[in-house]
Amino acid sequence: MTTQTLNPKEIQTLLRKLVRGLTQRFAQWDDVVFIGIRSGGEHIARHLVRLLEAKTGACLPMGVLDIALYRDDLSKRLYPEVRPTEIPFDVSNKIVILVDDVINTGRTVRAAIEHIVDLGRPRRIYLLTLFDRGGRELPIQPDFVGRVVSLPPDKVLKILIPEDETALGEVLISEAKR
Amino acid sequence: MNWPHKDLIGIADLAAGEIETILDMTPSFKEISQRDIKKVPTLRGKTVVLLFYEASTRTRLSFEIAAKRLSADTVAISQSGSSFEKGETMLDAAKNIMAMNPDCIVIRYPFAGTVARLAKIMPCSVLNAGDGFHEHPTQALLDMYSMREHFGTLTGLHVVMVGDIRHSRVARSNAYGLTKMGARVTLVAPQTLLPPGVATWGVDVSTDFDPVIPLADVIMMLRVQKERIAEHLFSGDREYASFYGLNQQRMQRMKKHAVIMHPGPMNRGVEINHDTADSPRAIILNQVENGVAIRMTLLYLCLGGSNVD
Amino acid sequence: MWIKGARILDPASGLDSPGDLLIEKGHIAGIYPGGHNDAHQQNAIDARGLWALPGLVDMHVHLRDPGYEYKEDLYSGSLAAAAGGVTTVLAMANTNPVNDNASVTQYIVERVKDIGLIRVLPAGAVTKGLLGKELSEMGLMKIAGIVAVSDDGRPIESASTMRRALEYAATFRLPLIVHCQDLSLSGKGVMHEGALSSSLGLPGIPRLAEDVMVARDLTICEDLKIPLHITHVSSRNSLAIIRHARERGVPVTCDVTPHNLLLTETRVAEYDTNAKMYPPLREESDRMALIHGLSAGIIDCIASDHAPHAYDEKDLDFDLAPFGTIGLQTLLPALLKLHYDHKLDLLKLIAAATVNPARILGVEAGTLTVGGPADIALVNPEAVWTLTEDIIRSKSKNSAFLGMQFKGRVAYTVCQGRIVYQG
Repeated sequence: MTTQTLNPKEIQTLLRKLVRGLTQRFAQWDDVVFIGIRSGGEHIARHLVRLLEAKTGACLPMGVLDIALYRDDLSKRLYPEVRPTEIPFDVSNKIVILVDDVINTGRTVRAAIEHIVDLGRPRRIYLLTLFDRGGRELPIQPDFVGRVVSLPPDKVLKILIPEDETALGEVLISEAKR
Repeated sequence: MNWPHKDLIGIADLAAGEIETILDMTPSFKEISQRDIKKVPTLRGKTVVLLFYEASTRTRLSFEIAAKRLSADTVAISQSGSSFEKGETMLDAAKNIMAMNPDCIVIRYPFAGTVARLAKIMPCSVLNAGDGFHEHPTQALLDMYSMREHFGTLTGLHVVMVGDIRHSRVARSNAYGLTKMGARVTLVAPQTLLPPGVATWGVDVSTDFDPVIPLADVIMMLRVQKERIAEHLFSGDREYASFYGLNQQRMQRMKKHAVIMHPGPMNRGVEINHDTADSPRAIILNQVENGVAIRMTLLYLCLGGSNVD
Repeated sequence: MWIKGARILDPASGLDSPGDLLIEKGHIAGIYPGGHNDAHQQNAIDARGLWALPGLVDMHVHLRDPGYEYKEDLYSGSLAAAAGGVTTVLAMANTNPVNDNASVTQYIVERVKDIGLIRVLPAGAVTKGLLGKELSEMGLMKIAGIVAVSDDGRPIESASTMRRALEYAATFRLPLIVHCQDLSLSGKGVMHEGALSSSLGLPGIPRLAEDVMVARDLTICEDLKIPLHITHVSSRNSLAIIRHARERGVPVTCDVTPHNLLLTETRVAEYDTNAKMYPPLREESDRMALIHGLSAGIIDCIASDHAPHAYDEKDLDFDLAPFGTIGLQTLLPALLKLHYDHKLDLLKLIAAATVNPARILGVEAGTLTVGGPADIALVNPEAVWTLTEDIIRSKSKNSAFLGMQFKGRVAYTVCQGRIVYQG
């Protein structure tokens, strides 16, 4: 089993690249909010927001979204644990940056979009992912991506979130379990 | 995670860990009821049939709303009390419903035992909304959730239930659940309204309400039905209210942080009155709100996922 | 006809010995402990390895005929009895119409004669329509063929009616069999009242419902000094009341059902309506008290209270289903189970279902006597079997013993010299 890893330093590099992309796109941050998809996206979003706030001096609201109740594959497998969505602001009229660690088939993002529009009517939703590993089943593409890593379906790309969330953790590419 | 139960017939069938799982999951569902669009697509395309053989606005409504907020389709059937005795049995009615392939049947029935029997023969999920004076598990779960929400924990909590314990499925389900979760339970009623063998439930029993009041963290009032007067089980509202009613004077002797609960419907002036039911200590409306969330959790657990694996 | 090589068990005479029996013209012509040389005749039943008992006498049976023939009738009931080694039954009067007059009695007697299998002796009602108000025509019914009176199914609510009924029945030398139940105490109860009924959410029948009436009826019996028979005792308390009364010389006899001797309320735990009967199955302490009572001779008889109900009737909510279990075919197996599991004396047990009830009813039955009727049950004492629906000969299959394993099975039943059942 071949595993590749990216260490926190390499991840940091990707995040800085994303921050550059964001600051190029947005001149001002008044109506911009970040929503991280639990749990990998949440972790990435937190670090991203910290870097951005340090760079721009802006105060950037952040929320966490749980898509367990919006999955389109509920009847086919054991259901996942459900935790509450925590978005402490109104999404209506906002520019939402939806953050996830990896985009694969695109179904998680579809569920997340459906959840967001149930909460309000954003002006615009952008998608930001740290990795794009290919394998799309829906016509969904990220607006901001850290790195494209083409992987065959039998491989898994995962962020390992460390105990101390202020640390970045590592990324692991390994064989899929099933 | 796997939920091993197709049905929910009674708290007696749930382990403490399983009750914990239900309580832990409920905030996620409660949050949905606080949004503008109170709906998630989770149970889209599932059919939930509500079969109520006893009058009940509150529980039926609660289940219906819970199912609808999960995007399930609901159908409610009410049967009057006497018709099934002479005509179609509940099992026959249920078999007919079964032929239309619902995913879940929620039943309230006036006799114990038959709901369990139905669950054995039905391939769909069966949720007990109250069977005779056997169990009312969703009520106990929402009561426990409300207590835990308020106090942060159930362990070590002293819960006092007052009323017609003998005929109360709410008392039974709560007693089973609370003792499993480490709470201390005291049941209060005149001797005639205590069930035989109550000592085996792991609870304390008292026929005197007053000494227990300053010891309670939760006082849950249950009602007494008028029919029990003809059965020589109590003498009437006036005397009952005087000895077992939660009035202003009794409320003032409660612990500072203690709360008042009632599963409803209330007989104002008997076991509870305006001073107590509408006081800030009463979390009765929280109970109702939590009822929808708890029922959403249960519908999710029983229907939202593969039960085969 | 000869029966050769059986272990002959006759409680009336105390005989327990291998031997041969000779039957001629419907009577026992000879009993030969140790065997008889002529027993190599053509017409013989090889009974080696079998026990020969007097045909059982079941003094509490509901045959539902006339009126409820869909549950059971005199013919199917006779088949069930024969399959259980029972050759004499007392058929209770709660039929439709109630057997409270000579013409219903006559119908039963004639029908039984036509069927010609076992002996069905009718009991007449104590009160007209079992309503507990007016006394029935006991004398005329006796001439028509009743051997006892009972309002069983219902209690005799009024103490005054009970008092007069006992006197009136004695006038016609009819034993009175009483069903002790205080209706206000049993109320809506459907099982034994206790911790189990509370946790199952079912209304309970306290022991008091029986104890109170037993005490009342024994007080009347003691006052009048007229014999009284109490049927289906279930409570350890009423048993104690009966024991004390007997010690004082009160002329009371009583019987108990096989299900109250072998089962307890735990049988109800799954809401199985076949375990719903009156009096209910009670606690282990009651069951043990009844077994000791039987062994000590305080309980005279075992009677099945055979109560058939159709499948659809029993297939209802526990609260709504009718009370009763069938029992004709399991009377003898139950008796043997008490012998094997509880080591109760075999002859004493057999007496409880043969000579004792026959004596109380004043009928010639329940014994193996030269010159007496050839009513004999031949039992294979080693056969192990499980009760399933297809074995049941009754029209109704509502047995509390379904699925239970028994040791000992009827091989032949002979009634009035004819083989009426062969297993």
